[in-house]
Amino acid sequence: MTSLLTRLTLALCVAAAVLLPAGGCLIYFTAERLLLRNFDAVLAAKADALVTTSEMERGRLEIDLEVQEFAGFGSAAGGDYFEFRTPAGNLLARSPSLRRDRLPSLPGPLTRKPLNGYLTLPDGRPGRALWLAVPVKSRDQPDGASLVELGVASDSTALGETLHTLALVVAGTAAAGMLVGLMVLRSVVRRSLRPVSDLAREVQEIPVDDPARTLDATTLPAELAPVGRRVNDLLVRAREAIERERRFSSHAAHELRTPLAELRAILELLASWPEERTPEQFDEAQKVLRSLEQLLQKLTLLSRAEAGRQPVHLETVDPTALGEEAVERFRAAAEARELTLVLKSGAGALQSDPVIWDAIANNLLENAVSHAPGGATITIESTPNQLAVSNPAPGLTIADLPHMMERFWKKTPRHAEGEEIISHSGLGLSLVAIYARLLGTEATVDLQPGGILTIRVPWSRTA
Amino acid sequence: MRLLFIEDAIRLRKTVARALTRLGHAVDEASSAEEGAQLAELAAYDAVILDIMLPGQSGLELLATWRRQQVETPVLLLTALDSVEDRVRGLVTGADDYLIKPFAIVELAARLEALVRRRHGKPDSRLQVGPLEIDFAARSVSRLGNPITLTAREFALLECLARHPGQIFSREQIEARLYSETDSPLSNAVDAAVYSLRKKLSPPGTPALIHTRRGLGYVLDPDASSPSSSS
Repeated sequence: MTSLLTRLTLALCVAAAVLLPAGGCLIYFTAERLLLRNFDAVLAAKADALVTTSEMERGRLEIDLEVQEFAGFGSAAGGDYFEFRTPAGNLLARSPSLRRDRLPSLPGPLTRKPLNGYLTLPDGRPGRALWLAVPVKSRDQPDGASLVELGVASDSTALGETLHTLALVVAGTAAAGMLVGLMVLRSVVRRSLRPVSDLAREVQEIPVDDPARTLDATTLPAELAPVGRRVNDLLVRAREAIERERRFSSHAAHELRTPLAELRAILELLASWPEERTPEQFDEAQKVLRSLEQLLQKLTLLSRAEAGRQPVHLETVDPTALGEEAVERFRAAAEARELTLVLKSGAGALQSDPVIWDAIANNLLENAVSHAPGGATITIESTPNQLAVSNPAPGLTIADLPHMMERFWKKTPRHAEGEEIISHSGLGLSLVAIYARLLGTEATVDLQPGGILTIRVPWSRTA
Repeated sequence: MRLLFIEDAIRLRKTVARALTRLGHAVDEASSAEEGAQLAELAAYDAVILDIMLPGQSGLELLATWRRQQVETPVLLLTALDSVEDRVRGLVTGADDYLIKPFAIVELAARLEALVRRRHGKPDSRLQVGPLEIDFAARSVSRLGNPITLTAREFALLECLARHPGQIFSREQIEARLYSETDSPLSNAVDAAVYSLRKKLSPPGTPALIHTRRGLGYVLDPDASSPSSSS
């Protein structure tokens, strides 16, 4: 996997490799254009001076020799040349610097607009010329002007050298810039990415199975602060999940290992001391087995419901009738603990799965009958709007409520010595929660100030 | 041994206590840490079997309190928590041993025996007292190579006396070692047990090993003369 540092460095290098030569070219061509414009302006000024001081008379062109000298056309050493010719190409006049040579033409038709271009001077040096068609004073023509062609050229060696030097400087600067950039860029990028590296290291140092640490999001740059905050949120959630998992593991271990230990102890007792082989001891062993069976059955139900393998068949059900049946099922167990069951029903029907409805009611009642203090009253409200079971729960606190639907969670039992506990697995309310979700609702837990616990499953599908 | 078993699972507690009693130990039971702490203040126990997950105060909290109070009674943690962290936490808190449920009662008894031996600085389970050779692990005793069959109660009495040869134990002390809080021994139960043990350890014609010190109690001393020995 390519690192962010390498990717950024590569991207910046590519950008530098494109932008630096492009910038150099821009500088070079701008300078070249300016220099040529100046060069051509000088040629134009010389052409103007020649035209102004020239005159046609009897087919001959006369030029003020002083201007000719002043303009530097007197000798070839000056590097300046001119040539007048007729539109037909016949030579009218030329600078002494041309001696017997003709000034080369530039490609293209001549107009009054100057035509500039490079050419090779008669002495072999590079030059730049200006050609144009221009009227000169004429005594031969009635309108006083004859149209002639004028070419003015100058040695462009110095211009070429200047442009060459400029090209070298620009290319050298671009190359040097790229080299220095390569060296500096990586450390600059590395320094810029340091907060990202620090964040990555901090996250990596957090133990996976114990995310007790959080990141200090206040010191992170603005771009990374949201990442830090979100990571902290996730860490808090992970910590809570791990805590839940640990609680679940320890409770599961307790709930499974304790009955196994009981069974093993009973069997050892029976095996080692024959006089212990009494019906009571065998009955105890049977009770342990029954509680293990119930535990495994509930775990299977939970697993099936969580895996989505619990079918849901909605039909119109009568909550009053279902409530009465559920209450009757727990009547004997409640009486054994001197508990009073009070059913409050409401007229009407609802759309529900009667099997799941029963399972929810059974687990709620089982929980209430198992945990309510002896002699207490348990109220069951079964209406088309909700199924709610309330009972006194003096041992519970508000802090316990968020854990009540966790698997195997239970407030420690406070039953009298020797009292039989009805299927106290710590899984009943977990089943209620997941069954409620199967029916598209959420079970809620409420503890009123008087210590009355109410577990409520609201229904929304009234028939 | 006089043992205290603190465990909230009633059936487990009663069954294990019953088995340990069958093995000759006196076992007091408590269903919570608070109840266990009260019992521990009332009697001296040779060892405590302590569950960790208890209602109210946890077993570890009780153990930590005891260790802060310099209570050095050996404690064996009995728990369903089986992770390394849980075991380390228990041992660091001051437990002397750790047993995970489910467990074999014979292993529990053997570990308790080992704890008590370590406490008395005797790593070997065998003890030689005069002509007697006692193996606490095998719960066997022999005199000059001749095996002697003892009941659990008699062995417990022998263990009490043999671990401290030459030391006089009053009837009350022996009773406290042999019987739990819930036992209701007859007033002469200790005398009867001593008489029975003395007969088995010293057949006719052999020197007596257990001696009565009138007004004080009983002592196991193979080197002592027994002018006042009597049943």
